[in-house]
Formats: sequence, structure tokens, C-alpha cells
Amino acid sequence: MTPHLDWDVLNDLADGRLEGEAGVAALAHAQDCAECRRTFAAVRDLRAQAAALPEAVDPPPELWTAIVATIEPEAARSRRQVKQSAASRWFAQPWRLAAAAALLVAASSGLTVLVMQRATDGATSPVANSAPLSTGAAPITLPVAWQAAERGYLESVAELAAMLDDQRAVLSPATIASVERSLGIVDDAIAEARAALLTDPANAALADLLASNYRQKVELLRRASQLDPRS
Amino acid sequence: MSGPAFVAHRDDALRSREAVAPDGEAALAARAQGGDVAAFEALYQRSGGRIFALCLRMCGDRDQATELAHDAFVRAWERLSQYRGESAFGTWMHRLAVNLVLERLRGDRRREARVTVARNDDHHHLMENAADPAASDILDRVDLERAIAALPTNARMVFVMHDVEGFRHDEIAAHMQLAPGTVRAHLHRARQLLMRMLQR
Repeated sequence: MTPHLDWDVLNDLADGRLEGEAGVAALAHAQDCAECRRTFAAVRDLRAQAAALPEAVDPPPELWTAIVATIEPEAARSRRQVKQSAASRWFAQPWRLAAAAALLVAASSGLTVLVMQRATDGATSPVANSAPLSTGAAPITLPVAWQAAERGYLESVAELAAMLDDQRAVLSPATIASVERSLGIVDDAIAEARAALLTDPANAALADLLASNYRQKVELLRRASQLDPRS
Repeated sequence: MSGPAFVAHRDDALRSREAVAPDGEAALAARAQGGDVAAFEALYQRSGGRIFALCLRMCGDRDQATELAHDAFVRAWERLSQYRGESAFGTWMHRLAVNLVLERLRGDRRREARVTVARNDDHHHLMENAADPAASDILDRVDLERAIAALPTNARMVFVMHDVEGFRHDEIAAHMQLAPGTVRAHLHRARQLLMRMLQR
């Protein structure tokens, strides 16, 4: 009877690392010797058990919270860059460009007319003091990624709306009505895109559309807040 | 340390991972690369459990595993631009996590703490269900997880990488910056210790 296989040989045998005659001889011994056979089987059983351990273990719930808290500032920067490039792509598509143009023309034509009129006839109008302009802020229920972006837009909208409200006392009722109609059109477009995005959060085109609508609103408010007080 | 061969060999490993990105994963990755946290969360939901399991088994400590998994996903976020979609995100993420864990744990020979992976209440719950034929398998797994966690650091890492994750000796040697003979010695010692702990 040959001596028992040593521990390293038994392990190498279980791992398939013994080749040629050495492997054949070791295997033959492991089959003939009860003690080596038992040890060899135990090593193979341990390997099999280890390989069968669950591939995944549930991480603690706070793990994702900690991850997102770390990456969110960086994410906000990335989103700004992406929006800029997405805007370029968006406007590079003719059908979108046409749709955007139609919306923007409809919404801003009133303002343009007012600005142009003011430049040519210098007319003055009575002042009206109506209700504050709506900011169009909707409850934030969008995906996390969009919530920060929407907050940014809403902050810009709020600032410009406040500036416009300051102008309200010196603008004519017709001007205010025109501004509100224009903003109403954009708000409707925002609401539509937002609702669509809520039902399909993974749709990048809808996200682009909502971002575009917000940008249009910001631009409209900016232009309105710069209207001549005698408009 | 990592070599190009690692990628190819990994797919042939004992516990081979998907090499092709599942449906929708490319779109999620593209959105995440653009800063979309929700898309990255979806990727995390797909691979978080596997990455956490890797970290937990490699370090043997739940708190440290949470920290390692956190750092792995943050690093992944920072390096998303390097993900080309040539393999499944989970495969790329796993590779990144292995490298990070080894960076952190490599050379940590001083760690002598013996910790348990499964909490006592988990084990108690399993004992209560021992009458269930499947429960004995679960008990074996829990015992094995605990025993792995109790191994010395290098022996544990080598055992997990070889017997659980399916890496080859040469791959482990390269990643851990050890001689192949040392890897073999750690592996054999780990098995010996485990069998003693499990009384086999």
C-alpha cells in the first residue's frame, strides 16, 4: 500500500491541477484508499458547496441612499452637460425644430408684437394689477434624476416671474393678458410632457421635450420681464 | 493589478457571468453615462446584490462590505464613460469591484477580527425551520458563510476568489500580487481551516 496522498496533492487533484501520470496515480490511490477517498470527497464537497453559494446577498437598504448622496452633485453637473448636448441634438432634428418653432411662435408672438409696437409708436397704456403670473410649478414626483433638474428650472422660473410681477404695476392689461396667454401655452406643453414622462420615465425623448419646454418658459419670462414699462 | 486576459478568462470561470448585456441595459448605461441617476439606480438594482455578496465574502464584515460596495458603485459612476457596452454591465461592475476590494484589502495581514456574516437572528430563524428539508441546505450555507468570514484575510480572499467566484490561480496571483505557489498555499490552508470549522 502506498502512503496516503498529502493534503496539497488531494487539493490539486480536486482542482484538476494534477496532469499526466501523477494525476492518474493520485486518482487511483484516492479510489483505492478509504481514508484518502473520504478526504478527497470532502474537498470536492466543500468546493461544490462554495460554488453553490447564492450569487447575490441583499445589500442594506441604506447603501443606495449613501451612494446617491455621494454621486448626486456630480450627477447634476453631468446632467447640465447632457442637456446642452441634448438640446443641440433636439434642434438638429427637423420635425422637432418645426414643432418647437410653432410652439414658440405661438407663445411669444404676442410679446414680440408688443416689443415691436413699443419701439415704433411709443404708445402708453393704462396700468392693471391682476393676479400674479403662474409659475406653472407642479408637484415634484418625477424620477430622482429629474427632480434636481426640475428644481433648477423652477427656481429660474420663480425668479423671472417675480421680476415680471414687479413689472405688473406698470404694464398694460393687454400686455399682461398677452404674456399670460403665452405662458399658458407653454405651461400646457410642460404639463403634457411632464405627464407623459411620469408614465414613461425611461423615455429620453420625453425628458428632452420637457427640458425644452422649461427652457422656452424661462426664455418667455426673461423677455416679458424686459418689456418696456409703457407696454 | 489587472491584465487583459482576465476579462476573457473570467467568462469561462466556474461561475461564469453573462457576457452580453441584457435587454435594455445598454439604454440604461447610456442614460447613466449622461448623468441620469435613476438609470444608474436601475443598474444598481440589477447588480447590487452580487457586488455586495462579493464584498461581504471578501472582507467578512457587513459594515466594511457596505462601505466597499458603496465605494465600488461610486467609482463605477465616476468611470461610466469607460464602459463601452462590450460586456454586460454586471460583468464590468464585478471586475471593477474585485479590483477595488483587492486594493483595499491587499496586504491587510493585521486583521485578526473574527466576524460573522449571518446575524444571530438569521441563524435562529433558520434553526426554527430546520424541519423543512430545504432548511438543512440553508443551514449548511450559513455555516459555510460564517466559516469563510472567520478565515484569515488572505486565505479568505483566495478561497472566495477561487472556489466561490471561479477565478484561476494565475488570475488570483496577478490580482493579489502574490506568487502562484502562495495562492495555492492560501487556498489549501483555507480549505483545511474550513473543514476543521465545519468538522468534516
